[in-house]
Amino acid sequence: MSDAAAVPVPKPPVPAWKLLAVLGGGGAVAGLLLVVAYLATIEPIRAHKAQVLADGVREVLALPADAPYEERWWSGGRLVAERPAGADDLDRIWFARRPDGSVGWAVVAEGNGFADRIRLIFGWDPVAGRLLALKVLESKETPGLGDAVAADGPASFRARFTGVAVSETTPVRGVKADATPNAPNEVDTVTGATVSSRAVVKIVNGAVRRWAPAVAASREGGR
Amino acid sequence: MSATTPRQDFLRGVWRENPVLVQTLGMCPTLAVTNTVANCVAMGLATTLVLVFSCVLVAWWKKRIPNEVRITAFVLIIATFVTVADMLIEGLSPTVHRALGPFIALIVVNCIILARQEAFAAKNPVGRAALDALGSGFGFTIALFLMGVVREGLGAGTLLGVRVMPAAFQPWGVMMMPPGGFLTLAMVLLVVRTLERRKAERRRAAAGAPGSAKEAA
Repeated sequence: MSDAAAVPVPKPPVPAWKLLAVLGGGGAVAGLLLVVAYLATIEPIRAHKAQVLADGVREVLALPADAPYEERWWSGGRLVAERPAGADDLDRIWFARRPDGSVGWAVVAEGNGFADRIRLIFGWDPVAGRLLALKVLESKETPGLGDAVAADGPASFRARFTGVAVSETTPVRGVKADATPNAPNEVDTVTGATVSSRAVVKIVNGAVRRWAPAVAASREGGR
Repeated sequence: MSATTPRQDFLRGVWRENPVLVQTLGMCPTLAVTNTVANCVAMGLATTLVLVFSCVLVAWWKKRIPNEVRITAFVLIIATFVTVADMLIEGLSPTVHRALGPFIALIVVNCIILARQEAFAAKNPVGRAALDALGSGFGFTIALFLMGVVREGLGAGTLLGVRVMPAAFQPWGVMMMPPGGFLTLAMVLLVVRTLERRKAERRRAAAGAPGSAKEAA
């Protein structure tokens, strides 16, 4: 066997245009696919999010399905009924007259949890100064531990917020579950989900502080 | 590479070259999402899907992708596929998306996929690449499932959310947290490697040929 036979013939270098064509073409095809998928799914995704929000508002205000509720936009330092033209990123709040005659407000708020942002909605009666219900809309808390704050059920963390006293000056307090009875504004935190529980309490308090003046000043005023 | 049967192509990734248990690849999802069995199965199946589709694509186009830019092309294929799948799942089934949400993006950086593309799909025909990817995907799912059974069983006393431990069992909270992932991985690897070693020893004893070369590996 000669030495020359052992050396493989070097392949000719790939021309630069070919590298560019493959990557450019591949990128263009990938971009096209992504845009098509985006356009095809944006409407169903948006519709689903709106539905989740509507269900959430009715749930935390204890309204029957398909019951009407109203929406207000925070614009220019007050609540307005019409979304101002061209404004895309305004905060919203919802309210409805509840079966018992009181006016309940539904607030969406978010903040940092243990793993990621927690987004929740809660119902609030500012006149009576108490929470109506709470529901976690999005969370990525640790499965088996922190995600207990998003659990449903009669003994769940979210159920503990129903009826809890809250106002701008008396925030909700998260306390360790023990034998001592809770004050009206205290909520038992979940063992194993302490950070996530506190985060939920903090988000609620922040939202109450942020919305209380606006709600009190509004024409609906809660009455 | 010696001739292999389709069966061997498939089974290689399932056990003998299991991506997690033997090659210790894909550690990020193995440690991060194995704290419940449901998460494991979802992550395993989602990864298998991406693995199969992207390996088929690479095997199909391997002649058109120059060697010099193959990594960029492979990653582009994976990332595009995962993003499109993410959008479609969110559009078609928000419930599934809610359950898988945080994990789907993780699939892009799963090195098992790039490894199978590099090591197998880029050199073999489409059919064999698909079988190999399917085998590796199942192997990955099986490994995650083993981890999930141990972690959920000990960490919460449940399997797929159903209580399996006696009422007196005090859940080991640590198994649900990141350290539990490391502990469980070590335990699972220890058991699997011990079983494999015993099997190899028995085989050698039966053949009557004490081969020591493979012992070190």
